[in-house]
Amino acid sequence: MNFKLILRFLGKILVYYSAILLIPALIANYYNEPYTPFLISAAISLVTGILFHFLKPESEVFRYKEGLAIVGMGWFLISIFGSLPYIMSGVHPVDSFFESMSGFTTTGATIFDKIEELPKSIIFWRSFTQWLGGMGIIALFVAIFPAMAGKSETLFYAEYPGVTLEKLKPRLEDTAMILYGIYLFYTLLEFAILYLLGVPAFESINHSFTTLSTGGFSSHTASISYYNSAAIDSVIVIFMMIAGTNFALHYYLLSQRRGIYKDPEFKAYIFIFLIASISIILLNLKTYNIFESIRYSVFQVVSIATTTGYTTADFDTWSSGAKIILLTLMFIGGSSGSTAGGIKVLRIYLLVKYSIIQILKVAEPRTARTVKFGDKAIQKNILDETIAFFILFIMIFAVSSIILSLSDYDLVTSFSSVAACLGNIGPALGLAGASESYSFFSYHVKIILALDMWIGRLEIFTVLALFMPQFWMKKW
Amino acid sequence: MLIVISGAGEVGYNIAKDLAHNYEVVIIEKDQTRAEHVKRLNVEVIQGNAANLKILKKARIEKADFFIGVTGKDEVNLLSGVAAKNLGAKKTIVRVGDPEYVDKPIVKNHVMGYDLVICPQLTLANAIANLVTTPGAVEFVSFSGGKIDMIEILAPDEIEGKKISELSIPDNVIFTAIHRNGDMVVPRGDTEILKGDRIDVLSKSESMSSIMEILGNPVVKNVFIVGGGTVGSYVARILDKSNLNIKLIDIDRELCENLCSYLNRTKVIIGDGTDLEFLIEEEVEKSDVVITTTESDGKNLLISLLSKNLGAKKTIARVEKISYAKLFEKVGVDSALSTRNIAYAEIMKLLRMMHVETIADVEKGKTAVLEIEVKNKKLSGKKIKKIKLPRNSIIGGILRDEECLIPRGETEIQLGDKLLIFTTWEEIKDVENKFS
Repeated sequence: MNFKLILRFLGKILVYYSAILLIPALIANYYNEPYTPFLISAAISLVTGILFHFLKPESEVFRYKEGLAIVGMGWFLISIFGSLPYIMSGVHPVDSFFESMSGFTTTGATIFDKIEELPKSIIFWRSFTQWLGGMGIIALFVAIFPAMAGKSETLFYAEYPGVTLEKLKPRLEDTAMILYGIYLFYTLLEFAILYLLGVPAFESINHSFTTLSTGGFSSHTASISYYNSAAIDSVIVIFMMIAGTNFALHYYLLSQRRGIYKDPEFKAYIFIFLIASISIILLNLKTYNIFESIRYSVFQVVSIATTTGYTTADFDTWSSGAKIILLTLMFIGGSSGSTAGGIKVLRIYLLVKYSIIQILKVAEPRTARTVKFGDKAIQKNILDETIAFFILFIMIFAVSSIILSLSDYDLVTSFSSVAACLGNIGPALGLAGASESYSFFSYHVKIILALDMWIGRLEIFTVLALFMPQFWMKKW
Repeated sequence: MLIVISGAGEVGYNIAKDLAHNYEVVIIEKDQTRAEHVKRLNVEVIQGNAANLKILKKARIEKADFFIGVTGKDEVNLLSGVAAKNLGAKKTIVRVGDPEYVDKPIVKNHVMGYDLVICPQLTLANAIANLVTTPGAVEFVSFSGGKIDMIEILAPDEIEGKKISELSIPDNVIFTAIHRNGDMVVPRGDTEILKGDRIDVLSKSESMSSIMEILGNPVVKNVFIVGGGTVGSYVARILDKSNLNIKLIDIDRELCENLCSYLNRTKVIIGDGTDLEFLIEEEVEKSDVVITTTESDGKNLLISLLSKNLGAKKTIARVEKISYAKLFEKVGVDSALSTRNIAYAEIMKLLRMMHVETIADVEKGKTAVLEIEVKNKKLSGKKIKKIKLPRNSIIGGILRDEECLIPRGETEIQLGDKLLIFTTWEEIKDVENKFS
């Protein structure tokens, strides 16, 4: 492991990052709020970055290992430095770390009980961290700073959500650029529509940041239910759907190269929404009339399945059937290559197909079959990786839930909050439910949940690799 | 004595060349050009397939004392070996390349009737493994069934310019010979060690480590093996039991996955050893020994030199063509070992087995080391200086019971002593006659 080379790369990232920290300082200045927390954070990030940059690595050998370490540790460092503005505004360090991690990983679980009381610059910073984390910080640097691009292949894919099946452009910088372009385009579009619907400009920006990143931080404690407007609800539903779709498909759609409706993952994604929505609409008919039931159920299904985490209704009060469907959606998550979290529809699709083949194999052992995605046969190593991903996801979920329940939280709270953090959703059930925050958890639990977010956002392997002894051993 | 050799490749040709002076040799060779080529030796050549009974009969196999199957095809060797045995050849020796047929380097009295089956690849792997576990050694030979070892080392810088008497050499360790600029020097107490000397050290196996400390040779920890074929995988399998860090490189994914199943300590890496970037990424510069075992001589040389250039401490290369071995060592490979050379040496050993216990080839065919038991009653009690040996032969060591003795002029030889004699291949016959 070439540790000094990694630190030098991380140093470079921190230097760029200090520039990003200046943006909320400008907002603070605009609203006459203290901007020193952001300036000091930027300065600390800059100095650390420069210090790292002075390290002279023994060799320039850059392998997969180094790439993984840069992304895994990079996200961790960025969350640590991103928590400095909260700490300097008087929030406990663990809470700050939780909030920062929840932001960058687009989870949207918050420890703030009253959002409205926060300075506008802090609210902006929360939303902005989600927007940056949504499409990926490393991808941003790859897109903007060509200096990073030399070794970007490993970096890019260590961060990329889901299974990579194709590249948009031969050059990775161009691919990153296109993805960020689409991301920016939809963000501005949503901002414009929300603004036209009468949402104040500041709140429109915040919500479009956190919708497109499927983050779910809101500028109101009551989340989207604050506006109590069916029009706003439906606009946000549409944009959440967009954010949960593979951005490569948006590229094809926008460049009119091919329709997205033929994509098997997209079909499965829509199919899951329809089934879940119809079931919950029917289950909710006991409490709501048909119109309300459609409005609240569809919103909540989309919000949870795309791992956004906005709320328009307190789904904690819904029937167990509805809650268990929502919990299942937390695991499934959005599409591969989107900003959504969870296991991803593509992986579920491949796993289901693979399992069916295994069943058929018992009945007809002599028939040859392969798992196909559209008209493309899926390579065995992708299937292996997918199966390992699923197993690790469930194992991490189980271990974290056990730790939570050992810390004296009830079954529903333990299960759902781990699922909500690991899948980067946000609100859970029980004590951490839709109308609550995560502030009541004890500090060690907050750290566990923050680590779960980190593991979940970087798709397990990147982070777990950091904990493998072989990864660090000086041993040759 | 009639010897029938099947196959006039490099091994068959060299054996025929050595034996033709003293014995009647018949060679069976299928290939026209090779058959023509081997005719220049003083031998009878029959063109045809050795597995064909008519051809074998034509070679008077029923009267043959030895049948040696060394064609390039395992199946031909195995089949002709059985046929030869059944037709009346007294002893049969066959060479087999595929370890599917033999699981040990050398199998004696094989169930199918062969007196000796040699797998040169596995023998080579054994030799390589011995070299790796004996740091600094460029040659390694075991005598008396592994009780006594002889290694050839490059004189390390630490002892350069010192006299042999100044080195505190422990008991049971003998400096038997020094090879200097192509000559053999008999070391005496006042012999000075010069740069580039290759020293033959004879010692009991358990004392080998203490002599290593005196000579200040580096410790081997990281072993880098390129090529997961028969030789590479067998070397890895032997070294896997030690506490070395081993990386085994091969380009074939399926092969690598297969190797993983029985190698525990070894890290099997899928990649191309001739890719410079790959070698750098896998930190070949930190390796103590690089072993190249691919099928291609060119690749082995290239990878050895590349690794050496990147900072690998020592390189051992497998060579197919015997004549390349010297060339390899000239351009910077530390040890070049040839499977064919090993097959040749093993077969020559067996042919002389009646009198000689072990015979080893050092300095690439220039010198032979014999282990020979004193059976000549006339020699018993005689002082060494009184024994007349051929011109190029010296007694390098005496093994008496469990002891290793330094031969001096006054030393008396006893019946049953085992003598290690450094000689040339031409003089072996004379030496044998002297003692038996």
